[in-house]
Amino acid sequence: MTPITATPAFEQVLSVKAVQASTSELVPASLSDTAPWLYSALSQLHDLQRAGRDVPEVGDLRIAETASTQIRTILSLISVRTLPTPILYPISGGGVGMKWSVGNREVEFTTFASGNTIAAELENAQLVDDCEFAENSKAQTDLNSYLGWLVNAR
Amino acid sequence: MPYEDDVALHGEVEILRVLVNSSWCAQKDDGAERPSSAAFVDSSNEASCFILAETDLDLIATRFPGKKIGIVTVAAARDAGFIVARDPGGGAGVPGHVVLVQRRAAPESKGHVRLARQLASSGRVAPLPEPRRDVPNGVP
Repeated sequence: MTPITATPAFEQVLSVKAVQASTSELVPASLSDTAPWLYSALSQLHDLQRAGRDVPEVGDLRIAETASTQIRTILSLISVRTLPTPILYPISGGGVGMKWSVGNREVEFTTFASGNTIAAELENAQLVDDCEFAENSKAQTDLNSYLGWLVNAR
Repeated sequence: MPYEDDVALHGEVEILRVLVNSSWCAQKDDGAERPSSAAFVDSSNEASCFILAETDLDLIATRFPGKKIGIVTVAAARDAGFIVARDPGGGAGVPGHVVLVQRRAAPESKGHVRLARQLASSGRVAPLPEPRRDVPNGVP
C-alpha cells in the first residue's frame, strides 16, 4: 500500500521559490489616491479638532465628539463617486460645518454640537432645498440626492 | 439667566462678529464680501458679538490679528428672529459685548440656519485695523 505522504500533494519542498508579482510597481491603495475628497475631509476634521479652543470673544470652537462622529457618519454614507474637496469649518458652540461648491451650486451641512445636522442645497447663494439629517435610509437618499444635484452642475 | 432683548438698541446700531475662520466669509454677486451663515449659527444659541460704536477695535485687532469682522444691524438681527442682549460680563473684557439669541426658530432647526443665512446676507465684511503695539492684549 502506498503511503498517503507519497502522493503529489505531499511533495517535499526542495527549495523556496519566490513568487513573482505581475508588475514591479506597487499599486496605490491609500485613501488619498482613491478618494481625495474623503481624505481631505477627514484631515480637515482632524485639524479642526486639534486646533479647537474656547474663544470667549467668539464662542467655543472646540469640536464636540458627537458632532465629529456625525460628520464621519455623513461621509461614510456618501455614494457619489466623484466629488470635489469639501471645506470644513467650525460652528461656534462645538459644531462643524461642511460645504461643497461646484460652479454656482453649494451643498452645505451644518452639524451642531449635539450632532443634529441641517443639510441645504444653495444655488447662487439662494436656498433651493434643506432638510434635517437623521440617521435613516431616507437621510442617505437625501444626502446622495443633494450631492448628485451638486455634481450635475458640472 | 435668560437673555433679554435690549430695546434701547435701535435698529440702525451696528454689531460686529469676529470672523475667525475664512469660511465665515462669503461673496456677494458683486464680489464684495459678506459674512456667511456659519458666522451666526451657534450650537449654544448665543452668538457672541460687539456693538461697533461701543467696542474697542484696537483691542479686538490685538487679539485677532489679520482677521476680519462681519457687520450687521440690530434691525437685521431682529428681522431674522434674533434678540440682541447685552452681556457685559462676557467677551473677555472687550467692551460692548452682546449675544445674538435666536427666538423665532427652534435652536438647531432648519429655521435656525435659514434665519442665520438671512442675517448673514444682510451684512458686510470689514478688515480690523492693524494691531497697535501700544494696546495691551488685555486678556484676563
